[in-house]
Amino acid sequence: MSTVLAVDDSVTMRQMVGYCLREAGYQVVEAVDGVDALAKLQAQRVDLVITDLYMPHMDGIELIKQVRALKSHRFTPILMLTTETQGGRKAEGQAAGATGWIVKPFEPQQLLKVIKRVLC
Amino acid sequence: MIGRRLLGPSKDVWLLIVAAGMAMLAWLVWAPLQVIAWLGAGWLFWDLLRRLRSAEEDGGTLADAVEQARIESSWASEQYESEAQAMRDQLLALDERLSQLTAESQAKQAEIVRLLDLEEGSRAEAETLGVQVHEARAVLDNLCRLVPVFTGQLDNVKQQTETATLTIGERFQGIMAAVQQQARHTLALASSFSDGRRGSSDAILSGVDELVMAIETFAGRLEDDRQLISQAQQLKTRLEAIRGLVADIDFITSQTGLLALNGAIEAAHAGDAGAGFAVVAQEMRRLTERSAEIAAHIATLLSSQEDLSRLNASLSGAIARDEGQLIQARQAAEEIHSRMQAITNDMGRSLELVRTTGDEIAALVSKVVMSLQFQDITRQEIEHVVGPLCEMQQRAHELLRGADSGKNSTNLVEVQTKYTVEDEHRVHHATIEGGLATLQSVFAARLLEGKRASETSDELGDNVTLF
Repeated sequence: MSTVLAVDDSVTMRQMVGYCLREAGYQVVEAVDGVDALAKLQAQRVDLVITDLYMPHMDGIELIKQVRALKSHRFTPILMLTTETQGGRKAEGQAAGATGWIVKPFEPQQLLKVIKRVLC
Repeated sequence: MIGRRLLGPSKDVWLLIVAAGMAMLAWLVWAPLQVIAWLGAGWLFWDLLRRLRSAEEDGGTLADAVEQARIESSWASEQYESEAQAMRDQLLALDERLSQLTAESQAKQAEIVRLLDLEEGSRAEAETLGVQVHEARAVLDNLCRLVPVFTGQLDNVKQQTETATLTIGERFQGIMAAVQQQARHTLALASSFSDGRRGSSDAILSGVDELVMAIETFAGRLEDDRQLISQAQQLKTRLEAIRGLVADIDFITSQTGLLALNGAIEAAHAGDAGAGFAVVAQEMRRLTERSAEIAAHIATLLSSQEDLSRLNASLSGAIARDEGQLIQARQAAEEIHSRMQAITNDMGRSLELVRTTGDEIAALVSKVVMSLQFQDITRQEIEHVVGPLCEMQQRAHELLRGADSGKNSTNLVEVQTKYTVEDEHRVHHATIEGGLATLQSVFAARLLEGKRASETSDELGDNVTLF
């Protein structure tokens, strides 16, 4: 059973992502921002990270850079799940090491397909 | 602007003052000079008279005195003339200057009048502006009080929608769990019921088949009975025919008896020649009697035909009743068969409906999950309104206090840099370009996009990019 870390400062978004992934059989760990996410990643191994971009204390792009610096999660797939559509920010995400970029709102089946693809 | 207007004409006012001063100075200079000139002339004249008097008193000749006086007067006159000329020149120069200054003064006066009019107008305008500033200050003051209320309301809306969405999400998850459990239970029940019913149905159908077989067997026996009846009927017919033959035999017997009797009579009449004929007649009489006996015996046998008919009739009646019941039994068996088949078909359709409904529910779940995410989007949009409102309130507060931090509040360009949702850019431009009408068309277009997106979707979707 794969473990997914869902990072978002919005409790409703964490609820929706968690619901969709648990229904599909994934184990889900939740974090409220980048700092919380890093703490959780240092404590346990996950197979995938799904993160929002705009969060307090540490935004998504900084989180991606920090995750890529961790030996244990250097190659862990990271998906950005955000409302941002500007190409510049997307390029920043890619440069930081993101695996994919999903613009909200997401469709549950669509998210599961993407996860399946990046976990293969 | 008012200060500039008040201070603006200062230069001209100063020039005016200088011109007036110079005019005054010129007059002040010229008047005493004239007085001095007249005093000087008067003094010379008085001196002349004194000298003349003195000359008279001294006993000098009037002519000498006059001459003396004339010389002195001439000298004085020349002196006076030169001084007067100098004064005249000065006066002329002053006069010219005075004219210039007067002209300038008039021009300045006209300018002052115009500026006074302007000042009057500016004062009126300043008063109006002062009132407007006062009102603006009142509005700013209100803004400073209201903005925190508005931002508080927006934060409250944000909080309430978040709480409501969370609650809806939890209840939705509960509903989905219940629906899934019910679907599983229904499917299991339907399957087991279907298996059971199938087993029962098979047994019933088997029973129905056996019943049908029994009915058919009974129908076969009825057919045999019918054949028996038919045969009995045929027998009856034959018996009827035999009865007819017996009647004929009786007739023939009676005729034969008559013939035999006639033969005997004729044989008797014929005597010995008719002895042989009498024997024949005798034999014929015996055959006639024997035929009559046989006919009577046959008739006796034919009397049982009535019993056969009654038996045939009652058998026919029984067969008819059995046939009726057979038809009913067949109809009942067919009906049972049809009902069982219909029930089995209904079960199959219901199972299929359960499966189809499950797929529809899955699609609806997907749409609900997408809709619930809009709380996060609206939360961000509200935050991007609250932030600039707070900055504007702070700036207004500074202006009211007279403190200027030098920092301007967020403007139309800066606010766009804070947007994180595509919709915010669209609303921003629509509002600036066309106002409410254009904004409404943006909302309508968004609804249409949402419907189109739900109808057509790629494998991963337009909103997904894999690097």
